[in-house]
Amino acid sequence: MIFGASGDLAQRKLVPALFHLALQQLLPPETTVVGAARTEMSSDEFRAAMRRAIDRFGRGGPVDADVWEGFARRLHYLPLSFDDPPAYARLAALLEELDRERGTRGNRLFYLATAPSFLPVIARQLGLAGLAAEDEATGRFARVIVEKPFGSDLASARRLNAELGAVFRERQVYRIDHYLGKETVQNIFVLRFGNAIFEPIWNRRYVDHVQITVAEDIGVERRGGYYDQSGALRDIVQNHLMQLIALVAMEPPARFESREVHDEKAKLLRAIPPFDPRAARTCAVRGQYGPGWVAGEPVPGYREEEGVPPDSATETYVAMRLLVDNWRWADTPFYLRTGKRLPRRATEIAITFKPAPHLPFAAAQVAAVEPNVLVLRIQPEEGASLRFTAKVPGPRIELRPVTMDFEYGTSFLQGSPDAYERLLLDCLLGDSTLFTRWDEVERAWEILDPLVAAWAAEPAEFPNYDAGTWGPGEADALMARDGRAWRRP
Amino acid sequence: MRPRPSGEVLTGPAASWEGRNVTVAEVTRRLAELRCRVCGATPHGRATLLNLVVWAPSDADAEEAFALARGLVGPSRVVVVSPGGAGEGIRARAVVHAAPSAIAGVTVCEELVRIDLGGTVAAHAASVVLPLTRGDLPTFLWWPCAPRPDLACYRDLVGLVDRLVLESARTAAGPEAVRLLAAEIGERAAAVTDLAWAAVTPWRQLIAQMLTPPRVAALRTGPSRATVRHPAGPPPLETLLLGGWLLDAIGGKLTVVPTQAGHGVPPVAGIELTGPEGRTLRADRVEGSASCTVRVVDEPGAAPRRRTLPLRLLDRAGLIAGELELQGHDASFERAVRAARALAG
Repeated sequence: MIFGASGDLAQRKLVPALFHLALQQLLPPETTVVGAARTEMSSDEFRAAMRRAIDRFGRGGPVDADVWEGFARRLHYLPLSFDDPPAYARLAALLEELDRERGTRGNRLFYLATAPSFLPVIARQLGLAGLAAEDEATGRFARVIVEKPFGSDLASARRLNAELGAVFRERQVYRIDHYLGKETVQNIFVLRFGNAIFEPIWNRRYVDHVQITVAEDIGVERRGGYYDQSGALRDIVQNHLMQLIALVAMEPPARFESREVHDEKAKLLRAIPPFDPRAARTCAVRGQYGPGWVAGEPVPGYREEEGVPPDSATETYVAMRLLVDNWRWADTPFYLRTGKRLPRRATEIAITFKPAPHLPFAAAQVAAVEPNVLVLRIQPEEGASLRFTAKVPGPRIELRPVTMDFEYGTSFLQGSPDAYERLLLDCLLGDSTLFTRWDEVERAWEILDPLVAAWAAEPAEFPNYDAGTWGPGEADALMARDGRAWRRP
Repeated sequence: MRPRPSGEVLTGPAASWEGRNVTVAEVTRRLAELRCRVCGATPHGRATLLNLVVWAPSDADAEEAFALARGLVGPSRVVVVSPGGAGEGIRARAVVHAAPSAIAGVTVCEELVRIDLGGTVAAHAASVVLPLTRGDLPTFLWWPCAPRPDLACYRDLVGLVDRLVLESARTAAGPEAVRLLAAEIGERAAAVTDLAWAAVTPWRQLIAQMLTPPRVAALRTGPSRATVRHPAGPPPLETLLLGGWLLDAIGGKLTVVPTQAGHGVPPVAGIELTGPEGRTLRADRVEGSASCTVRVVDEPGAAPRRRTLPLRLLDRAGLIAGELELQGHDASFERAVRAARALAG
């Protein structure tokens, strides 16, 4: 069941992902997809819209007509007002009918791809209609996938969790963060815990600092209305960036299993102290883009974007410095930044190691060497690189940094699946390892809530960076105070 | 970094693409496609040395730079930017070729893009160039003229790069070029150099080879004199930079005198160093040859000792290749420029 099936996410990601899972024969043949949304349309019209979406957004080019026909027979649509109890009765009847026709055995997966305000409404109605119940005796499951943002602050997240919890148990709730479905993010586990060479130096003794960047070159596209209620802190930092820092800094789990991984991530997040509101100015920077040029094209400022108020105080850029107060990371800063309308799209984690303690080369020839940097590239061009120092060929001891590069695209014969494919499949299989558990979400809000409050209390002078630049000058100053500089990915 | 040996032919696979009125995203996508076509079933490594951005004020400059860049071994991605595009928008040409690496039998993919910017986008070249460079690699800007800090386009492009390679002598006379370079050094985060400096490198190596530490000490104690001979007219940038380097490297009571040596001689035709005891070292480039004649007179009236020594002749590809070897600030160059200001008047 996809709630919000006429929306962008369903068309761009969810239905193409289900189609590719079906193509790879990873979906049980009886699996049926029911779309529901307020938009009035027939199942045939829904199928036609999804066909266009798969042609446009699916991976692998145009769709074979026969393959499509097989998949299309699994698609159904039900117009539904999210707060209308009789509609849920109709939905329950439809699902029972499909159970009988297709043998889906009462297993339900509800994907709530709607505006956040509808989440409690839909959950409540699903409960009232008896659709949230599981049957442990028969193994019949009912799971719900909830999109980010999960709340807009700590209090609203707790409220939402309580509302979901009144209907679903924690093990039924899958809070999705699609970054966790990306191959490179999963590869952080493998790189750290599947190789013997990294973990011994993955600590404060050898790591100088870590930079995590989520840079987007696009603006808010057609999501101005949504984005203005959210902003970069809620849209990216609270979820993607906090998850990435957890994966990079957590202790090794005993097993790569859901509970073990979640326990370690939650433990790591608990080691990050909540923002001190008095330090908000020195440890965090917010920004909003003005007009500028990106990739050779003039782009409007944020306040001129469709759906954005002309006096909006919503941040489109955040940079911050966090510390992890534990034995492994004490005093090792983690710098996080994200922004829209930056010059380049790039998501990466860069671990900068401390310099060699002593250079045995003649000072006249080698004044200093650049530190080793391990970069985990999440998008685009997924891969990893390690920068180290090498001697330039010739009679002199001249040193230069060089890079060992690994690219997913050129190292394996098969391409990476889309993150949503992996996550939908995991949810169907009941594996929540790559989803976020409530205590992680709650702790992320606990860390950021004081900053949310501090920023809400103090108006910002926006816009403060031009589109097409790397963000406000204060972000550079934040790094410069520590004697460091942002990378240019 | 080096030019390809003359006669070396790129026999590996290559693929190219051209488009008019294109977006940066399309160019990036096409480069990826070309790379796939060139690589085929056997993935070549991608050169991971540096990005080279070339500013080409005219079509002829762009063609020359494109051809020259294709003849360099090493740059991972070359982006030649020309502001003279006809009409509005971006015109692009991309070439990906598999080039031999230093290891026999191993090839790497090198990528070249020529971008012609027309209309308003020409004033925002940096916004086009940055997404076309490969992330996390040192980036060089070859600006084949004197610095133009008055141009926003220049400032924006310099702001993107780690090292700026100028060719000031192409648009400014020697004394003016030195003043411009001196103003540029320290003004920006990027390291600055000039191909004129690369051109005097063989002279600096020759002089360093000829001067032992006691001789340097004698010259420094002075009074001593260095003459740098140049063509008729104001001293060229090369002459002033070599003179500045001598002042910086020897210093003390050394006096450097640029001297006109007549028409048709190279920018540095020769040098002469005279120490306090009358010991003289003179070197003259053999015209058109990669060598020079060296004459040493140990004391006034003594018979000169003559030798012929190699003195490399570098073409433009050789000069730029040399400057791409260095990635950080060249302190020696920066001190030479500052010292040359005294000679530039």
